[in-house]
Amino acid sequence: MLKALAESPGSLVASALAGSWRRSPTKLECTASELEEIAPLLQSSGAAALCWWRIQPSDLLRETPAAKGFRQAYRLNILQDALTQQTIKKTLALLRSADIEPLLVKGWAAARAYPEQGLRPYGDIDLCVRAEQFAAAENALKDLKERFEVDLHRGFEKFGGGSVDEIYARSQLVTFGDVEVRVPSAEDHLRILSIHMLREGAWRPLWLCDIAVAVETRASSFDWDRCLTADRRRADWVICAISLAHQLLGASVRDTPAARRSRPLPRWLVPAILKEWGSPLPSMRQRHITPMARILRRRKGVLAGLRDRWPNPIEATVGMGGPFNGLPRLPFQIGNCLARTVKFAGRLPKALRQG
Amino acid sequence: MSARTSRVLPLARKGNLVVRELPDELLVYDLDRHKAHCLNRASAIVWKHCDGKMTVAEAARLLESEMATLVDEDVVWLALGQLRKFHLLEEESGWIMQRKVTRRDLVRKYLPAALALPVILSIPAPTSAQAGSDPCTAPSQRPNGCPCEFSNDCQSNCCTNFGGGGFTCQPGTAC
Repeated sequence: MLKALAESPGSLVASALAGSWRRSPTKLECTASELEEIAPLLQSSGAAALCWWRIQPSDLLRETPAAKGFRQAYRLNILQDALTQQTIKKTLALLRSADIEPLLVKGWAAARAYPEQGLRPYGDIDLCVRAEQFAAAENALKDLKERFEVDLHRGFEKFGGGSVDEIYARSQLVTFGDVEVRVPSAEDHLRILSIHMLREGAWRPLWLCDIAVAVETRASSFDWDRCLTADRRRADWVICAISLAHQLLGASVRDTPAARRSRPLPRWLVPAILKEWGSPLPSMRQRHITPMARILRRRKGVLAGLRDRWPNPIEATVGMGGPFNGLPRLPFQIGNCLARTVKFAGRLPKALRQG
Repeated sequence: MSARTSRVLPLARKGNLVVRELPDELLVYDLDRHKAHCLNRASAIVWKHCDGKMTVAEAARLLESEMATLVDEDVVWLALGQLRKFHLLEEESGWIMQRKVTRRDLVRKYLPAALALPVILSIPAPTSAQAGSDPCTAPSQRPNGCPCEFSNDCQSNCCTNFGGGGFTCQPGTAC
């Protein structure tokens, strides 16, 4: 890794989170000032409690203001877990009363693999339903007060696809408090977590921790063929995601396809991620908060808005269905940008009519 | 309701609270006020025994044995004062706070065992990203106040430039 990159805030974030998902993580070796520097990045990306877990054994660091903030995040995550549990219970009751059995993905489904409650926050509830049941599911939830906390997905296409029937057949019911929740099998979930992270340009370090913990806690019966599916390109994306967890966070990938991948990770990949992790407001997040139509209406900040819409190489590659190889990413970025512009232009008249 | 003797602990509030116990602290989320609190061990012990029956003297003795340090009634009064301030006591029970003790009053006295003093910390509400997601980035059903592009982005189905501050989700009546 280049020296400048190794000293970047993104790189410090990676060091702070390395192995943080383990029951007994290694003690964090960094200075109080380095910790203060990355504290806002860890807090804003939801990784603060994991950092607290790593600095707990360190007498020197645990009394720093940053550490106190991380501990507050940990406490808050525990309470948030209790509150979200209530919302999940209500949501599932409504869907089940309409004969819809959703699959809970990401969020709590990922958090349950961590050694302690409170280490991994989750705010929204991602539920996948069969495409033909999507409208009925939306209807069933229309009066739910906490509807904005529920992210309903039509099938699994955006998470790497695969046969919906097979994913359902392999899914399992697990207990969450006093409610039974259906989650994908470990194999399907690792694929879902990996594709989702890459699709979003990997801007949250927490997503790579999810992959690391899923890989390290997998059962001996874990079936890699089921995880990687028949689509070779998507399979390679998943393998790259696992390799990233190894390279950036020190996840153990022994006996995984990542350990057997003959090609090294493309050189653009790690710097692209570290740039996102070191950014106080990653462009993907900024994009969600300030929609382009709004920027165009107020005619202010158009250039900044356009800059935020420029896809990072990871998002562009996955968005265009491209391979993770050493070739330049610019064609994918241009292609992805054009595709999204066309889609946006199609929605624009409606937006202007509504405005 | 007649005022109850203040030598007896009041009733702890039970309704609309989410409580989670950690090894050395108790976390409480107030669903009415949407505030989170962290009670240290001493405050948690007093709160758990606020049953309208235990006396302040008994609570002090209990604290003494649990914390393995000398404790007098003032410590219990300090805890009660904080519990009341954070709305963790039944407000309708007619209980009157007989003694007001501040932390400063006790710090010097308990300096060698400062950890025994009851403390309730407020936990600041998370920013949306800290909570793991941002309701304002949801594809639909965004709450009022969130930036929006289309009406169907909003829970209220109303995305408008209300007050000239940019397009945000607003109550349906604003559209």
